[in-house]
Amino acid sequence: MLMSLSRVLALSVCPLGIPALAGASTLFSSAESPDAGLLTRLQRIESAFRQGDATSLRLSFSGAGKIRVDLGDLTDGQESYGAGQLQVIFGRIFEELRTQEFSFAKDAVKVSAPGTAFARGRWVRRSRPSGDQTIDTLIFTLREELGDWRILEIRSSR
Amino acid sequence: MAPRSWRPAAWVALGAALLGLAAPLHLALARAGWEARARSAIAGRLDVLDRRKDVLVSIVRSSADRVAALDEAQAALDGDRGALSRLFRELETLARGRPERPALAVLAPPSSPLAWAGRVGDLGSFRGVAQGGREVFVVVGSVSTTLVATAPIHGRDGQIHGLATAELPVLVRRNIRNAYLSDLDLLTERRGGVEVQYVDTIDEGNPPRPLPPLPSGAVGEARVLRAPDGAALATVRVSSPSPREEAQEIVSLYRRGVSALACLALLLWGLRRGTRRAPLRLAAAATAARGILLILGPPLPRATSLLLSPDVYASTLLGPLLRSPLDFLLTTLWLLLLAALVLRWVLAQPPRPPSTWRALAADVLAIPLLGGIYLWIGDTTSNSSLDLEAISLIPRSAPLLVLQLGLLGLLAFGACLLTILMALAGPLPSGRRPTLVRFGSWLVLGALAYRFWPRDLIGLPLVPTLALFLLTALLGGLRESWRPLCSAASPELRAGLGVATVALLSLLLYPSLVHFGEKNTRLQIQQQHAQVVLRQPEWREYILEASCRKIDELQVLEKTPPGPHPPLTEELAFAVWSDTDLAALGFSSAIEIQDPAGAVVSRFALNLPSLAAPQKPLPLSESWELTRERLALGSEERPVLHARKRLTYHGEVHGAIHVYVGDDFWNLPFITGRDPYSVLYRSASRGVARGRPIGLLAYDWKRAILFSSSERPPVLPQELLARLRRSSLWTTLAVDGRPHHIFLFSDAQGIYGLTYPRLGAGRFAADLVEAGSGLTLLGIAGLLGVMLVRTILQLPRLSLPSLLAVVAGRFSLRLFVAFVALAFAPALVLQVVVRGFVADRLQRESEDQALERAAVAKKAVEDFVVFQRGEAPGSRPVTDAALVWVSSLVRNDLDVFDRGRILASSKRELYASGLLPPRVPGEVFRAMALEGQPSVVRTEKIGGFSYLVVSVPVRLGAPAPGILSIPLALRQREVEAVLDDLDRAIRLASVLFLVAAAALAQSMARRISGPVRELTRATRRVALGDLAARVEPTTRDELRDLVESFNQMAGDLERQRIDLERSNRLAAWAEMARQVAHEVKNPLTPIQLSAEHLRRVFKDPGADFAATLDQCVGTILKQVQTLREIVTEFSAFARPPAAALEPQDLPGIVAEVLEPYRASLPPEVSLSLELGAAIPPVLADRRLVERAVLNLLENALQAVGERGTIVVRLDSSDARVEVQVEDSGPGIDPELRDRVFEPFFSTKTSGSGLGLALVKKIAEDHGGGVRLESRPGARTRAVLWLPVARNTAGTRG
Repeated sequence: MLMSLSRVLALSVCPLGIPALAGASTLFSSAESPDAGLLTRLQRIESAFRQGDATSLRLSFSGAGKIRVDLGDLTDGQESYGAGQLQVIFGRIFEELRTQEFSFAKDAVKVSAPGTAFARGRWVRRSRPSGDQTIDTLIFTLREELGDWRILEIRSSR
Repeated sequence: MAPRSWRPAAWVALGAALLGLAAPLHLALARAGWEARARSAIAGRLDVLDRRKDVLVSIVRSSADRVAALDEAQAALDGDRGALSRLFRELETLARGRPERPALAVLAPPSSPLAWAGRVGDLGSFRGVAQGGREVFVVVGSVSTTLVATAPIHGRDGQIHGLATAELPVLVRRNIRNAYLSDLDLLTERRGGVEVQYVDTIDEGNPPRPLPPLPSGAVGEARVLRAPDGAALATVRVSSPSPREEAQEIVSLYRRGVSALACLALLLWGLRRGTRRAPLRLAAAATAARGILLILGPPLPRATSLLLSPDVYASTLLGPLLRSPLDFLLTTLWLLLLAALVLRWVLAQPPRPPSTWRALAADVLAIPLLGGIYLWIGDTTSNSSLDLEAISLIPRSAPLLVLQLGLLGLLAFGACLLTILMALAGPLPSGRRPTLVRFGSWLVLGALAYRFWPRDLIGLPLVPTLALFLLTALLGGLRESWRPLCSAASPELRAGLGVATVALLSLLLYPSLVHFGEKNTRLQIQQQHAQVVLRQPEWREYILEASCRKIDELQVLEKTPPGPHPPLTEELAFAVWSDTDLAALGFSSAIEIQDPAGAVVSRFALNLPSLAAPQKPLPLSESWELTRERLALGSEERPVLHARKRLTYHGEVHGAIHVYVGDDFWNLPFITGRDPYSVLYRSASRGVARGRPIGLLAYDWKRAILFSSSERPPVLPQELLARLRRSSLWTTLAVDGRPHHIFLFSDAQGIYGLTYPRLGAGRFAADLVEAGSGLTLLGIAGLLGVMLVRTILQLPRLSLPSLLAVVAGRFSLRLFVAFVALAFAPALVLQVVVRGFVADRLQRESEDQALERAAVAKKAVEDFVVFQRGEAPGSRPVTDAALVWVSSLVRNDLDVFDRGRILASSKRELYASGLLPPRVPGEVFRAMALEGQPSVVRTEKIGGFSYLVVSVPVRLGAPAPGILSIPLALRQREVEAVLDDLDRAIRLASVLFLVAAAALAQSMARRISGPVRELTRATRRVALGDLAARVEPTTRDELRDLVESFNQMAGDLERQRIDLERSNRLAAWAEMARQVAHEVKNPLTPIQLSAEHLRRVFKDPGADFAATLDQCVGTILKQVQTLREIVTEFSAFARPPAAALEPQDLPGIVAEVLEPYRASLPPEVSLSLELGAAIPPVLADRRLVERAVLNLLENALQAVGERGTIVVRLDSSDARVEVQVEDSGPGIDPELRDRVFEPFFSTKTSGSGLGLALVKKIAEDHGGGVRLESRPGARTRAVLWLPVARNTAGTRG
């Protein structure tokens, strides 16, 4: 069962009122507001998922090194993939699954200090042959590269 | 109609087309009866599941019955200690007798385990057992579900004295998938389309929980599986694939079938021989086959195979051609075939004359070509999840092998292209100046390329690139030197050259892969891992937040009735943990679950020490609270994030949950923990693990160590600090005593170093040899496979018999094969004996070390027990925390068992997650508690993870001692690493040994067969009369004796021939003197008689002196003339004029000789001349040849006498012209025929006997010969042959 948006907000806000122990940090430190570049990138990722377009999704991958990916049963465990390899993997996934909905909750985007951001996307998909629907949460780690945000890691949340 | 040779291909193509047409028909039929068929299939599968349930029930029931029937069980229950020991043994034997290995136990009333074998659960918690109820039932746990059977054990009094149990885990769900662990489902065997809900014995009276609804349109049916007594054990539902899924399967099946047939048809068509267009047809067939495989997919393997998985490898470099490892192999092989065909065509063309500009253009073009090849290799390594440089003698996995073969094919393809380019450039220059110019241009181009090469885009491995270029330049430039040799070589030898090429290419490939592997590792560390390190604090919080959210979704303890000690919750913490991202990421983390009274009822911790007391206050809030805390373990503290909340449902408090996340760097996904069990909890991919372990070092700005994943971190040099303030950098430092590459970077908190081991020269050489050997062996195996197929097809060439014939035909090859075959034996012995010896030694050392540690740990635990008894009487004698502390002292994990059950553990998570059973193995308990053994060493297994465990007794303050167990998992890993290194060293030594043996064999073969070959050659020369032939002795062994004997024999023969010649000469002289005397004596008699007659007549006045004088003088003159002729003939034989050889027209000479005779022949003698076609000129002295022909003709005339025929023929063969003089004379006997060419031999009464001898001498002086073909009564033919004049144009017809 997925948590409702209000509950997510409650979870993020509620601990602030909890008295922390000596030397403890604030609970789930509040996220910086994402910049326009990050939001644009997230929109492109949303669009690529919705359209099942692995080629445009590739444009969002980091240009340096491999991308760490764990999509649960959709990939072979957690592994690092080259950009071309990941494009083929997503191409095959999009062939087998039709995305019904993909969206990032704005308040589930967290910008970290050294130009890193985490974003949680809700992915509703349907298997093309069987018609089974699956709802998954993907956690994206993005990094700022030359003024643009790129995907560094994609992970299916349990 | 197609020609005969086309027919097989055409038939197969027709089959493919028909199969393709059949698919829509099948689909239509399938669609029509889908539902009925689906229901029938579902019913069938449900029946199968029911039968499978019966089998499982039968296993546990029969096992329990057999245990109950044991005499020892009854006796042990009656208190017989000897029987108890025997009972343990019987249980072990019974458990081992079943492949499923059910856990067996005997319980004394009420449910106290007396004896057990196998992974026995916590028997006391079995409600069915405790209540003495059902015979067969199911216990559903958070992680595992167990099928249990019980059987009463009756005493002699007929009363039930105890209970026998048999347990079989039928379902295990840990949510972890790695090399060691996988989930288990004995009932469904994890086949799709089946859902199972087991009915726990506690829910027996309740209706089974409903299964989730099926997707719309799906057909499914449920059934309750029941125990023999009718109670429900499980509800199963089988659903059928949807019509679309079924259609997809049918289409996939047909596509594979059509693909297979179409490729077979193309193969048959492409491999047809005999026409000039065969290469073109082969190229077209290969291209079409590649296209078909691209569109329809390969017929094999299954779609789920890793060979077709982009998870292993995929690239977009060539569009859709590289979508999987198999695609990569097929594409490279297809391109290699095309390139090889082009290369073959280019090499068949006549070589072009050298051209500086063409050579320069080729050299320039070679640079981007090399760049392209290595760009592709680099792309392959970066788009593969496997460690491609791990080329071993025994392939590690099929996808890895396929990719490596593809890379080899790619390198071969590149080599072909470069060779084509270099062959088109023309031959390498031969003069000094042009050679210098060519090499100079290479140097200049190389320097320019090195200077301006885009390294960031394509990083070329320098040495392999240069080697590949030089190799192909030599192959292309020296084509005229090696190509004729290759063309003349047998197919078997060419196949051998192919294997050698594979070896050479693999030696070029491995350094390239190391280069790109290292490049990728550096890029990964620099661009990715470093960022992960810096973002770690935020990431931990983010994941903790996501985990808390997931826990909320799980509604932990919601269904558990509120109250203290809820049942079946021991593994709950692990089950919750494994459902969160903490498990997915392998975070150092822990989960604790409390009951409403505050007691910790379930706890699971990974890489965090035992956390809390068994009882603590419940959190106050029903929302998540978060704090940063420091967990103390003795003097060591671990920072953690701690989130907790009270679990309240429907207004009632059901308990509380705590989540801890280690706030340090052990959570990094790429760091290998020191904990040997950490691999059990981390999900891993199915591929081969990467060969470069990454480590992390963290320092503060005063260079003090904050964190190290290694045992012995290096001291950070002071001079690096200043550079680090400016930017990150790479350096090399010793980590754990071994040089490591380190990427240093920093932030405000400190300095971080990501490390990986530097590849040493020795290791590189070992791996290079292993890679070369591995791929070469693969090449040999492939070649033998081809030969085997050709042998089965009974093809004469390139088959096993032809290979044997080649080997048998050459002594050197036989010796080579024998040596290599013999060298395998010691290599194998080395491998087995040395490895066995070292493994045994390491094992003993490990056991000794473990026993020492056990002794120390035992003392510490016993001291602690005594201390604890004084401090807290009545409490548990030893706790997890105490064992964690002791384990840090002895540097090994510890478990303590009391009365066979786990009391405390430094690795509680192994028990909390159900990986280890809560009972000590039965044989250990028997050996120590019942038989009093001082220690037991045995192998324990967790899934595929095996390790040694040493157990010793320990005093826990009770009369019966406890058991202290020390698992040697860490030591086991160290031993495995040592053995791995040893294996590598032995393999290297073996390969070097084999190479040395091969070289020795080659050398010996040359040493032995060389002199033998020389002797054969010299013997032939001697046979031809060259007695001066000698062999130079090159050895000092028996072969030298043989050579010297031969030389001596040849010398003796030569001397004997000289002696013989001298004797012959003397005899000839004597014969000549006799002949001269004889010949001279004959004319002398008439002369003497004439002179005496003249004197007598002169004194007789009456005689007519004038007439007598005239007559006598005439006679004397005639005889004097005869004498002169005799002298002339002897003189001519003794000193024939030196031959002045010139090209001569032999037909003209013969015609001239014959011409004078034609007019003066006897009337009945005919003489004719027959000329063959195109008689070439001969190199001859005209006068001598005239004399020879004249003598032969004279001989023939004398043979025919007054009547007969003489035919003179001229004919020419390969290199000679023959003059045949055939007569119809009486012929001669064979024994006389053989002597006719001897001087002074004659069958006639007149003549000197020198005529034919002179013919022979003349013929030999011209390099020709003469023979006589004759037998009595048949025509005689004398044949004079002379060699054809070479390099003389013009012939006469």
